[in-house]
Amino acid sequence: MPPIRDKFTIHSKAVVCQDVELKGDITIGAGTIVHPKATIFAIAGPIVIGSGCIIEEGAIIVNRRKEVMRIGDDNLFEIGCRVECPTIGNCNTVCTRARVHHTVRMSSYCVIGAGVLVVPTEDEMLDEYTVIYGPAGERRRWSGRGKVQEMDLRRKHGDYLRDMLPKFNRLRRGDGT
Amino acid sequence: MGRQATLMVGIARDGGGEQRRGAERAQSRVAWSARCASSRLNLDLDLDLDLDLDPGSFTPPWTSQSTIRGQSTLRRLDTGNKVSRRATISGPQNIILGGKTIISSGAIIRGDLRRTGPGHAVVISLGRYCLIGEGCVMRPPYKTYRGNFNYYPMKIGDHVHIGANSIVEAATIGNHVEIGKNCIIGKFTIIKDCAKIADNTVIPPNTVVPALALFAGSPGRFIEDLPESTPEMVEAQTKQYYTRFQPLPTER
Repeated sequence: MPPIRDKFTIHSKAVVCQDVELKGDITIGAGTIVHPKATIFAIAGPIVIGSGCIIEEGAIIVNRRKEVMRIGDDNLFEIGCRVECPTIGNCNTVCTRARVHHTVRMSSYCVIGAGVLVVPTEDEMLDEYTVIYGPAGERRRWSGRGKVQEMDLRRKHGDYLRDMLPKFNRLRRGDGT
Repeated sequence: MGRQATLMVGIARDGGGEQRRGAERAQSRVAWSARCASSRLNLDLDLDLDLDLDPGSFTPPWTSQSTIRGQSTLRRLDTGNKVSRRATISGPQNIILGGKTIISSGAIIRGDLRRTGPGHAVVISLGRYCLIGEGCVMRPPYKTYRGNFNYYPMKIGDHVHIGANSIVEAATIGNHVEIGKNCIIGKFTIIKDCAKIADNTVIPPNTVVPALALFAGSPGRFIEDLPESTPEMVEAQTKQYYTRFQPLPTER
């Protein structure tokens, strides 16, 4: 296996803390926030993260496949979650300490509840508005009520963190700057 | 003494049996971990490091000394907080430790997520004889209120033990609370005095855990009432834990 070549492309409006572990070819879009102690590993293929995502402390994002791992916009990865999905749409929430295997692809507006383990043996695409919750990983569909409020909260959260995190944490810049 | 980036270590609590106020109500500081990347720039490490160790001989893996600030000559105060150098503490100026509190290695405490607005904002306040287990994450909860996004402070009482790898986003935790390992305490949870949370419990956001209750499961549910002797038992346990506590010699 060839050694992992690091190449970080971080948008100038993204906030990536110094204390973040990055490996491989990683692109981080505008307004995305990566808290300290998060980990992003592009082992095989590159990882491309869209804009407005929030990646909290202890979250691990891994790409084990050769293809590009694409993460859309406005996703929230909460504390200690582990995500290996090859594709992730927009506005998804992966709650605290949830684990999502590389056989799952996420569309948009999905919620993976706290501590849930999603490991289907065959490849699967989660429909929009899917909610997986509880210790047994039960599924439901979100009606979409409160979607606007949820996105509004996330946008404000992002704005706040972009404002506040640089005051207390040292930031990481991309290779280009 | 308006230095930033010092961990306030003081007895700044109101109420409670063991409070000591007045002269000793001073905010002191703990020698600081080099892992504290966020505020490394602002630290005057020389102040901390020449306290109770001979320079050049041995750097203790744990910092047990803390000092009163506010005088030109530093005076040692026996607040006895033990903070691992491997703990990540961001925004230490917004964190108050009550004294005799242990913060284990790998813990993450987010003091940087403070309430917006002018003035000094306390983000996380811990009481006396608390334990933050290994790999714990303590972070204040957030919400929008009247259209404004904000993080809200987290208050933790005395004699609170939090087990390893738990994630706490509670609003308030009372006195004599035990939280097990691998728990997830959701945002704005209120845990009343003497409650106990079993290992691997997931407490959903906005839950109120009543006093003297045992909660377990996912989602966390009421299991049974605890005996009325719980406060004394927990108090004795936490004190014993603190007095018997010895850091790993290999840990740096």
